[in-house]
Amino acid sequence: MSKSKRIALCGVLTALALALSLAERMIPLELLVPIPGIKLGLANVVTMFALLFLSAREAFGILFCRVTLAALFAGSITAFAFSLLGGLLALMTTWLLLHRRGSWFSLYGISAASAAMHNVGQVLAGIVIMQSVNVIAYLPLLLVSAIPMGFLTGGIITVLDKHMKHMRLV
Amino acid sequence: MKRSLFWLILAVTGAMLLLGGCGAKEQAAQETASEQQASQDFYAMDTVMNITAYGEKADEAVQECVQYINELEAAISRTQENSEISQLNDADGEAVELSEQTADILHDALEIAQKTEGKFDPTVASLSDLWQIGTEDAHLPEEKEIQDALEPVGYTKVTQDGTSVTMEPGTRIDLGGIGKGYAADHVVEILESYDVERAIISLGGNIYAYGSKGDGVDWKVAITDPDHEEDYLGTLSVSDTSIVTSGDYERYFEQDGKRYCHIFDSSTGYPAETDLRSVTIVSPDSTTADGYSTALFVMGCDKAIEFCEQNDIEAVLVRDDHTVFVTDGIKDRFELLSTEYQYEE
Amino acid sequence: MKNKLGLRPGDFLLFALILLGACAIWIRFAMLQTDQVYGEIWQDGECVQRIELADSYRNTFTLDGDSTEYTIEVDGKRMRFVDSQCPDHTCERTGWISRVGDTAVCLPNRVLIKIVRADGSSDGEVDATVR
Repeated sequence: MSKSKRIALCGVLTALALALSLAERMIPLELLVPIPGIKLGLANVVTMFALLFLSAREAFGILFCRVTLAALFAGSITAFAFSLLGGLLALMTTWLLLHRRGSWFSLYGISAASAAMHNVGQVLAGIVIMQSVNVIAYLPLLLVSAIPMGFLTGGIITVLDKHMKHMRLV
Repeated sequence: MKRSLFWLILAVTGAMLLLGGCGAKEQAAQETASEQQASQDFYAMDTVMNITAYGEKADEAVQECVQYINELEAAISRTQENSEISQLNDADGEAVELSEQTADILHDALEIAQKTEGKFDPTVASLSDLWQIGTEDAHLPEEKEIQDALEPVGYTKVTQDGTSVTMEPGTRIDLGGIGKGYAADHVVEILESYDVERAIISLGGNIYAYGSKGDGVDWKVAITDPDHEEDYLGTLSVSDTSIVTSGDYERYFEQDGKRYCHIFDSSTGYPAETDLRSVTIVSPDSTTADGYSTALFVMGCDKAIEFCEQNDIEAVLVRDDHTVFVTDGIKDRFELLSTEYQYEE
Repeated sequence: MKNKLGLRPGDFLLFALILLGACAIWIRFAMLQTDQVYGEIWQDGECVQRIELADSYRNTFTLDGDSTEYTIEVDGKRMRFVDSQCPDHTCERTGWISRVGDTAVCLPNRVLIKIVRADGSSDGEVDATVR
């Protein structure tokens, strides 16, 4: 793939991730888990895609741009911290587990683990920002929700993976 | 590839810093998270008090409030021999020069007495000394004793000119009726000066709900059930206001099946004969709320309702027939909890 | 199902780990967040006794106050002043206190009893009570 094509793809993915993170703001998760700025992590699908078809470095670049731009749109430093910490942990988990993809893990398990770590990261940010360890009390609920989230993103990525092979986009 | 990514990140970070103003609101929220809670129970003015404040300098603020109340008590106490009020009470007709603050409280007290036509009267000290209600010596005095003790009672026997005060010989002042309300108002001023965001000030039952409990959520303040002091009659949801109750259950004694409470009717010399069990005033001015709660209790239900209407006072009146009257302005803030009471139609 | 999705053995390990983590944290916090309440006896602004209140617990505490002895009866999750020797008996009239945030006071002895949560907080259903 040519250099310019890769950059273009990065841009498209950043835009997609941004759209997803703005879209998930419509889901009132905060009603269930009263931590300001908590997110399901739909945009992690993009991180995973980038890790699969591009490189770790580019995945990180996309993540950073997405988080920064989303924080700019929302005008909120808190949201930035939440998304960045959650996103980074998810990225690292995915990157590590992808090394054993196919042999030990499938995309479903990797997505679930990544979603779980995304939530751990958010709760960690919550502890720092809200200055209260009690925030951890919401983690169990978020962790359990990571499994269906894992199947959702895992499913999307599996379908993409299958079709990408024929598309020769990358 | 590498370089373009680098520039992109740099540009975005730069934009972040430039637009840092967007995050200002968020920073304020973070400051709220780092606020401190300071709470202290202490004894003053013959009662137990508690101030619980939230804010960065909450600790210092509460300390200063406690000190303020102790100083105020030292000035207006009737039992401490060298207090300004004791000096005034012992002046025997001579003019006495008061500090500005004490003169200010006395001025408030006389103003409330005037407004309530003596139903609240700061000169009932001789009556409370005679009856001794609230002590183990509480008793029903002889009629003659009561008439004698009534002689020097009357707020018109006090002449105030600025800080200079003259009273008729024998007249004695007791500022206990509004002292806690006055203290609450000034505690609020102290808390404001320390940028305290919210606080619950409880001065022996005089409550000041300062600020709101959080993001537009009101404080919930319970009113005691006059029959069962451990139960709530109902609750009031309020912000930035004081709530003061006067009731016959606070201090009283019983003799021959009759209850004599600690609130006196300055026109008879006897504890108030009233169809009210308790009066709760809701007002941002705690001093007048304190005085009015006493006055309305003495007035009785009908006159109290009339007084509320004429003076735009918000109140909860509990009658001895187990009905509750709530003024229109706070109707939707009051929630009746006790099943033994009904609203008055 | 398994074959269709192509799940690998490691996936189940990951799911198990996530659920295990969730359970561990949940149990840890469920323990802390039980509505365990404590009765505290404060004398002159100092907590002199802290009592874990439980349904089956009964006891009386007699302590020396500023002016007289005072006695506090604990019955399950409520407590009150009894047999007070002070002149005004206001403390006895307050009756049983049982809700978090409730207080009863014996003024002559400068004693305050209150019901609090495990972390010492006392935000109950109401923020204050006017008496």
